[in-house]
Amino acid sequence: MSESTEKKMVRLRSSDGEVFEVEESVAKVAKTLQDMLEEDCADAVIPITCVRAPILTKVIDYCKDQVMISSSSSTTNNPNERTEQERKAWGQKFMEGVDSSTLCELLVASNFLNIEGLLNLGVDKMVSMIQGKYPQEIRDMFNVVNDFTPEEEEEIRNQNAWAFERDPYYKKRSSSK
Amino acid sequence: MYSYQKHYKLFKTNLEKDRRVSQHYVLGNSWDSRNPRPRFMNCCSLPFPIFVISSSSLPLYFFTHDERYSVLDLQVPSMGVSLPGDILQEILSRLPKKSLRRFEIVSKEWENLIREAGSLPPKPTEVGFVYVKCCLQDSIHKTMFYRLDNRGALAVEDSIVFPPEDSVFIMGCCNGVLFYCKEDQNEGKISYHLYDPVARRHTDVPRLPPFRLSFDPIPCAMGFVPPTSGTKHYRFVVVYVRQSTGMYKTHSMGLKIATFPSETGEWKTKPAKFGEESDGELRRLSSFGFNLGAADLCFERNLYWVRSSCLIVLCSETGTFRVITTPVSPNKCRGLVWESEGRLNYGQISLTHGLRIWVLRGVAGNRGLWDTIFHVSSERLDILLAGTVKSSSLKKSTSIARVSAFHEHLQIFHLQTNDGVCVSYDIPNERMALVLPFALDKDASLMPFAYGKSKLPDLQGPESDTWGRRSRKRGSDSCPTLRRSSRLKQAQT
Repeated sequence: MSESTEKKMVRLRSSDGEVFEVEESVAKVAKTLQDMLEEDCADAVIPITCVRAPILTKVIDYCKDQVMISSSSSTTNNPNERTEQERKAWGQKFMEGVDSSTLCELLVASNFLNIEGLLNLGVDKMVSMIQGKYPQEIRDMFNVVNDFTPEEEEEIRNQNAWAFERDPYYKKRSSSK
Repeated sequence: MYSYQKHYKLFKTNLEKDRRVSQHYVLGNSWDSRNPRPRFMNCCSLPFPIFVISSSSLPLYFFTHDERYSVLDLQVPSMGVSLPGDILQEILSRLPKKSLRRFEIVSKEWENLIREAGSLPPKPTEVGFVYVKCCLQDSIHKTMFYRLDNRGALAVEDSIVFPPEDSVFIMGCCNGVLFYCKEDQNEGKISYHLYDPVARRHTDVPRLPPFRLSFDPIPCAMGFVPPTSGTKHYRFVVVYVRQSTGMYKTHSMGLKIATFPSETGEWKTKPAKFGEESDGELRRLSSFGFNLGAADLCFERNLYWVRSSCLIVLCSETGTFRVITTPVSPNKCRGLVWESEGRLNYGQISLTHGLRIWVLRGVAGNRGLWDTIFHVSSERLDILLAGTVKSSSLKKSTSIARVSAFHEHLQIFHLQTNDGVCVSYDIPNERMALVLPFALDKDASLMPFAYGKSKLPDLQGPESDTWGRRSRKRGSDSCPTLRRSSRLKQAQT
């Protein structure tokens, strides 16, 4: 990366109106933004209407890190600038303490902005979060309305009884309802 | 000609009428057919349009039907966050089957998504069981592999290349990886190896460090800690007993643990430690000899050996032995331990209680706190058995001696009698089948292992499949791992 060329800045506006100024290289990690910038159809401030400020901050953090990795590898030509293991560890740390609703928003944002790495990271995190959970927890988590009639629900549950038998807390919970 | 541009304008007009939309969204001015995704971005915001836009079938869904112009026709979640369908699909495809079956009752949409995911071709982890049959023929251990597909059919797995003539002894299997040792006839040296029958990959355990004098050490327990999702490093763990006059006279003070972490590429030996609560129990066990063999499970970097009265746990990081009691009092039926959804499960069949699965909730002292999560009574097993097995040797569930394998993805048990007859019990379909008729061969011992859950590290390169060629090339003294790591070190300096 040559320091002489002036770094072009891009401004992004989150859904709640906050404006972020980032280097163009950082914004370009997001394929959606890259396409926009390359086609030169971006206005002075790019509205990212489906992403709230705290989520966008997180996304930008990720993009910055990606830029850092790629730039360091191109300048120093060091083959082990970041091993697979360090990458995984970094990913875990990045996702640490993210709750489910933030994670959903992050997934939506990375899908929308088309950032494959972040999407992958988020999906893995989500998988580890929801496996072993029970239907009602899933409904609460994703705001899903149970649109089965009690009879239908009972039928499916009977079909899959073995999956529920594995859960010692399930009966307790449903009987207390 | 179908005009996206025209329909987009119509769509835009309709959307802008809707206050829910106009409050939040600025609609882009034009629709670009070359690049539908980004062009749409300005008109999408929280839940509903994204759901459609992110799907690959997007544009037509919106534009071809008039009624779809209206936002009101789309299901807009009342509040909070929802996930676009294809992200959800991706998440579901990475979940174990058991979780999926449970999530079917979340909602109709989830049910559909899960049913769709179920129709996808099975992942490599779902190929089923691989069985190995060892028998002594002309004083040579002969090894054959049998594979069981999803439907329970049995076939000789001839794609597995395994040393056919060398004297190979299979020690056991851990997380779907087979542990075996091989004796070099000429030099009398024993080498240890791992084999993943599903990935068809061999790996050598690095040559063991000398342990007292110049004798080749004979380990009494071995384990392999596979790379986990967080790290690429693996390690081998070997436990030695102090030798005395030809027999293994064991007491806990004589135990040594050698670990080979791939980070350093060198063996490190230290005395074994014992958890305080477990010391007495372990001493009692070691009075019967401490020959544990290959670990039955590696879970969260701990190695587990199942014994009739307890689980022996070795922490691969600290080298500390512990004991956890099993949920049932000791009996002659051997149990099985496995990992499921991040928790330790234990399955056992008993004469009075039938087949049961427990999950470990916690440990108090050396007492395991187990919750029963699955139960089939012995009466029920008898009924199923009567409908499945015609042979006389297996009329009652009481003749079943052990739970020999469990396939976590398919939720199928394999139960075995002392004669070696094996039946499968399919939990989701509540079905039994005779799976291993050949097991009646008394000389054969069977070592079942479910799909290869752990990945063997690639130490050998592309040649690892061609066993014979490779072994001829190498002397028995060579240790590819060490050589490789030392080469790496040289390259680094």
